[in-house]
Amino acid sequence: MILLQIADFRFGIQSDRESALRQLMAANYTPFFRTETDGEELLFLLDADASLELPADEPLRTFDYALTDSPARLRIYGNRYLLTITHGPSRRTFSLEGVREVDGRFRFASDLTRRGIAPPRHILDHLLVFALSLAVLEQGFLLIHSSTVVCAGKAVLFLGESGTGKSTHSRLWLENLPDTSLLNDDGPALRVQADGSVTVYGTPWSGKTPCYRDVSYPLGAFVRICRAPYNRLSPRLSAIQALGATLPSCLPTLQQEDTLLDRVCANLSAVLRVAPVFRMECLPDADAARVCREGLRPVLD
Amino acid sequence: MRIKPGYKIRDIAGEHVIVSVGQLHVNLTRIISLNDTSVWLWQQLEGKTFDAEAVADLLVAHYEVERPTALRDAEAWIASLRKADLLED
Repeated sequence: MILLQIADFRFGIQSDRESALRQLMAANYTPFFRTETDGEELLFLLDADASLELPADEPLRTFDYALTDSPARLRIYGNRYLLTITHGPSRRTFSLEGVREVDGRFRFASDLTRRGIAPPRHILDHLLVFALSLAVLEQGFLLIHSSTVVCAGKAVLFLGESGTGKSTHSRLWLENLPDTSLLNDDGPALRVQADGSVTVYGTPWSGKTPCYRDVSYPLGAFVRICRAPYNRLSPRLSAIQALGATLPSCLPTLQQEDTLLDRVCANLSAVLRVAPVFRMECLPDADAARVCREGLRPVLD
Repeated sequence: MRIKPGYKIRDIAGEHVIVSVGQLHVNLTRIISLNDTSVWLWQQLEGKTFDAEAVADLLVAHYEVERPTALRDAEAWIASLRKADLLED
């Protein structure tokens, strides 16, 4: 079994081709591998050699999207979620099925390693992100599309559509500001703790930047990045603006059905109770990092 | 006209909102904020066919407002829902 711990959640992957899978995962999952369970119960154990079949009945909801160049389809059947990604000219498919049991826990099965061919890593990543997100949605977990830095001991999450300059803005902080490091460049995890505080965790999912850190920091602020011919940080956004700035950065696959979207909204509500959201209109220059950092002084210092 | 099916009022971060969802990593997600009167009208009219007159009737019956004002408010309410693409004919 491959044992992983991400955002303090432990889960396992069972595969007949464990060593090949482990090798494939080594590049970004190594800091998250665990070797023993120390008795702690696993959140779930994913069977990666399962044979998955489409249920005979029509799904209640179908959501089609693209994972880079691979078509992806999420089918929702009541308490059953089937995510299928079609890859390459051979149109080989990789699927993951999650079933919500009566006790609210999820059981997962996938055909990732079933036919002996290693899946492309971005597909493996995408399926694991979906599985973990489903499994712990009820426990205040949210994966956010963000480039995230740590400054003065707090996480600052830069948000924005792909190509708006989130990663560039992070890099400008690292190059120009003291006491700053990169936490994750694409998909950090948020977790609302029992006392209402919010923790930001590094994950194995960091886009094109190899930054896979098994560390966590308290949430400082969200900053939505917008391109502009000047550098200016907005005042703290109102609740409704904050929602509009953050919800689009949550996983779209969790927003296609009312039950899941209710949980995403509840988690986001809890996060926005403690975290301020700003909008940064900026150029890709060193001054942008300094203006943003200066504006966040009341939050970070 | 009627309110499009599939939309639901949610309480998020202390606001009453309608969430309209987009595609992966494309900013099509829209958040529409409703005030208390809007929420009440929505609840009365959800699933029903209505026009500006019907909305004005509700406003007159429930709030202390003159008919001409109610009709203007009703038309403005309908226009804002239409702009947010929440109505169908």
